[in-house]
This record gives sequence, C-alpha cells and structure tokens, in this order.
Amino acid sequence: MKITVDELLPRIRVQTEGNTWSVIIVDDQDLVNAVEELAASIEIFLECKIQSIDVSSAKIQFILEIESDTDYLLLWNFSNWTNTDWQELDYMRSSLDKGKRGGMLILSQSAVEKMSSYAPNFSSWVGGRIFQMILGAEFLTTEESQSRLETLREWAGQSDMEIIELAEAHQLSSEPEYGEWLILLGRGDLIGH
Amino acid sequence: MNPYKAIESGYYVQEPYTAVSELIAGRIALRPASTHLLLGGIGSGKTTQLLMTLDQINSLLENAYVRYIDVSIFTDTSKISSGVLVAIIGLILANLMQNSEEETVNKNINIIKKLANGYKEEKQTISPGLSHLASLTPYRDPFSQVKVEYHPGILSPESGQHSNKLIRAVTELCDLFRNENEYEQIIFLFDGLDRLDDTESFSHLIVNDMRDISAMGIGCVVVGSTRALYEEYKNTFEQAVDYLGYQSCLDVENDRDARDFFTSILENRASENFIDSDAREKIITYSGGVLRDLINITQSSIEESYLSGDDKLMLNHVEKAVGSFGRAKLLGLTKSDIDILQEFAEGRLLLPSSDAEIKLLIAGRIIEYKDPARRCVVHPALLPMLIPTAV
Repeated sequence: MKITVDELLPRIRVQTEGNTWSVIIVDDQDLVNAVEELAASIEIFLECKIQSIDVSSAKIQFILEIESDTDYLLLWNFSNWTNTDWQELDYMRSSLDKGKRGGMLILSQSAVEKMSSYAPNFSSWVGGRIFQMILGAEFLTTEESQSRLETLREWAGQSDMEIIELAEAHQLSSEPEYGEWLILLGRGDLIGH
Repeated sequence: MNPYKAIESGYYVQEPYTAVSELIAGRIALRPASTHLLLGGIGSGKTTQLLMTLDQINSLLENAYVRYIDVSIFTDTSKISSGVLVAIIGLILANLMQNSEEETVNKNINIIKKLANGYKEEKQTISPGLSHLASLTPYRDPFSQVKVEYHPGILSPESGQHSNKLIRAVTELCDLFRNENEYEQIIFLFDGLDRLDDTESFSHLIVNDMRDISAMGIGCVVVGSTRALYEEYKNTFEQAVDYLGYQSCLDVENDRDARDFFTSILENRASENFIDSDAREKIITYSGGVLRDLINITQSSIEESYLSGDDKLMLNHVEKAVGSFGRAKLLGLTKSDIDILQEFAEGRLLLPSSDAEIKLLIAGRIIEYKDPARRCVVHPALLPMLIPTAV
C-alpha cells in the first residue's frame, strides 16, 4: 500500500497496544530523508521518545544500543544485511519487545523480501503493516484534509476556531487527535503551546 | 499485545478443547520431573499456552517453584548447543541463591558462572626438559611465559561444550535451593527455541539437556517449531521426552467450536457491537485459524475504521486490512514457491513433504489443521493473491 507520512501518522497513533511493528519501504536514495521525516513527525505526533538506529554496522548488536526509556524504535539502513543477519533478528526478536510501543523498520524492496523469507516470526508480528512511502507528497489533498477535519470536528463536537483558541490559552487537551487537528489547520506551532 | 499482557489483561479465552497447557500441567502434577516438548506453528499461541501452563501448575502444586524463561534473552539461539538449558537453570539458581553465605552454595555458583559465561585462565608454560622441576616450590623457570587462555562459556556461540562439571554444580545448587526453600517441585518452562531453524542442534539440545534436567529432579517444558515434526528427527524427539504436545491452528471453516472460540476472543477484546457481525466473520475466515493473524487483521481493520472516521468496524475495513495482509504474505516468494502454493490450492498437493513445502508451512503460507481432520490449506488471506476467483 502506498502511503504518505500524513496518512501513516494516524495509523501509528491507533497502535496503542504496544509492540506493534510496521515496515516502510523506500528507495535507497530516499532513505536518509525518509528517516529524518519520520523521526521528527512521529515524535511530535506520538509525544513519546523515539530512538532512530542505523543498523548497518552493528548488525544485530544494535539491540545493545536500545535505550531503556525509548518508547518507539526506528530501525534503518538494512541494505548490507545478509540472510543470516535477518535470521538472527528473528531469533532475537523478544529483545525488541520492551513492553512499550513497538517501532518501524525502514527498508528497500529487496530488504523487505529478505525479511519475509528469513525472519518469518518477526514478519508475523508485522502482518500486513507494510507500506510504500511516498515522499514529497507528505500533505493530504485538500479534499482529504477537509474530510479528516470534518471527522475531528464531529468527534470533538468543537469548531476549528475553538480548538485554536483553546491551544492559545494553553487549555487544549494533550490527546494526539488535537495535535493532528492543529497540524491540519496549519497551526502546528501551537502544539505543546 | 504480547501474550503475557493479554493474559494479565483478562483477554485469555478458554479453548474449545482441552488445551495443551492443561495436558502438560496435569502430567507435571503427576510426575513433576517429567519432560515435555510443545510444538506449533508461528503465531499459533505457543507462548500463551506456556504461560497458561505456568498458571495451572501453580494452581495444581502447592510448593512448586515454576519459572518461565525466554531462552533468546540468555543466549544467541541461532548458534545454540547442548548444555545451554542446564547453564540457564544454573544461572537462575545462582541468582536466587546469591546472598547465601554457605560455602557449598558459593562454590557451585562460581563454577556455574564460569562455565556458563566463560572465563580467562592464566597458564604458565614450562621450558621443555624442566617440567620435573615445576612442582618444586619456590622453583621458577626463568624462560617460562604466562599465557592467558580464554575458555568460552556454554552460553557463547563458539562453545559447543557439554560439561559434566556444570551438571554436577547445577544439581548440587538445585538440591540446596530446594531444601532451603522447602520446594517440593521445581519446573522450568523454556520459550524461544521455536525460532531455531537447525533441527539437528535442537535435537541434541532436547536429547541431552532434557535428560540431564530431568535427572536433577526438575520438570521441564520446551517450545519448538513445527519443523521438528517433519524432519528425520521426529522419532528422536518422541523418544527423548515424556510428552510431545502440539499447538495446532484451528480449522475455523470445518469446526464450529473453533469458530465460536475465535468469536469469543474478538468479543472479549472489543467493546460491544463495535465489530459488525459480517466484518467479524470475515476476520475469522481470513485469519485461517491462526491466533496471531486473527489479532493482527483485527488491529489493522481497526486502523482502517479509524482512518475512515467510522465508529464501527465494517466489512470494507476488513477487506482493506486483509488485502494488505495477503500482499505481505506474497513478499519473498519465489516462482517455485508460488507453483507449490497453487498445487495446494488446487488440491494436487495435500501435505507438505519437500523442504520447500515445509518452509512454506513454517512461514505460515500453508496452514496445517489437525482437527476435525488433518489437512493443509494455503493461508486464506494469501489465496486470493494466487487465484483471484478463490475469494
């Protein structure tokens, strides 16, 4: 499934039950941009501690780099991972279950195929959460934005203006839906205000 | 959600038949030092059964010490060798007894830690021809050298050792632990070995370690992959353990009780009327009777419903989620894998026998049911990707 960052974020937010893993497929040349974009967006959206780890040099030993207070892991740069490396990840997958939120693997198409073949247990955690990232189209279409805003208005029973006023008065609830609302209104500056 | 949290949150639903956890716990209650192998496919609920075994043993036996262990937390399970399970038991007992001031306890703790984790030893080399003087104190050979030799521990991948010295130390420490705490039974439940792809290593581990553990008077349950049932070692496993249990996927198409069980799981986790009945039936069908897939497809369907702004989970949400799930199962398949799957789909192949067919079973592309009749099918979420008319 092709997806933009904006479409991905609400999905991640619904994944509240912990240890849920997604896979994002990007072209190698877009890898660094995608990681930066995702790390920044997820951190704001989930309001939790993100740790981004380049796994190319440490390989499976990256597990030792995971900080105890990390809520959500972003693992990337698997291009030099061999079939054996993927098998080791499969064996060690329990070390990724820290009892918090899960995380995301950012991979190329060929790496995701290796993962599917050599890490069947980990792949079963991921299930169908494999998305092809569309970069450079991070924003929803006007129609999609309006539809989402309408949903949020109905959900909260409040208008856009009321939300902005509450945020400016430091009285807006910290629930992530309100953060998304402010971003869709172009007022991301008011998040955490 | 991991199985431990699911049970803790009250999401465990009693299976329609006697659960394998009940069978194992019942046998352990009768013979506490017995050995058990629990096999099953990926996502079939083996960890849940192991955790339920722990609960049930605790309710059946009053003075038992029962411990669940994920082996992958202790060692690299991809390079595992005989002695590892004994070493892990030793380290756990060493940790439990670390505050003891008894000399025998501390002696055994030191032996276990050295042999399990490895140690360095300084060795003095004696010049050739002067070895007869080495025992004379304070004789010192002026040409001797001190070399540091590293002995890898049993938990390290390069070891491959099966140490009688370790077994003796763990046996002694176990007896001391048992007496000090007045435990009548000690039982260890080992999870994580189902990921071990090398059936030969797994076979050695089962034959040697389970025999040694049982000889210490300790009960033992080990989780393993379905692969063990299909390889030349099957007979070895059956003979090496007292009981071989199988956690099968449930045939939700041919077994009404199995379908009701899956319905109960969804009802137990979702708020009332949140999941539309058609959507629920679709989720169950496309789960293929695999517990983890049931949960995964449900969670993805919830994501779809949330994004649509709907306050109910409807059929169209499930269809989107199942589409993604099925496409994910296609990834990494070769042309020959797809040919095999099509043969299964069309009934030209009935049970996996070749290595490639078994691999497809292990990876959950083919599902095997034991009841009401033994049969294998292509995962229903993958089937429409292979044969579009099969929807």
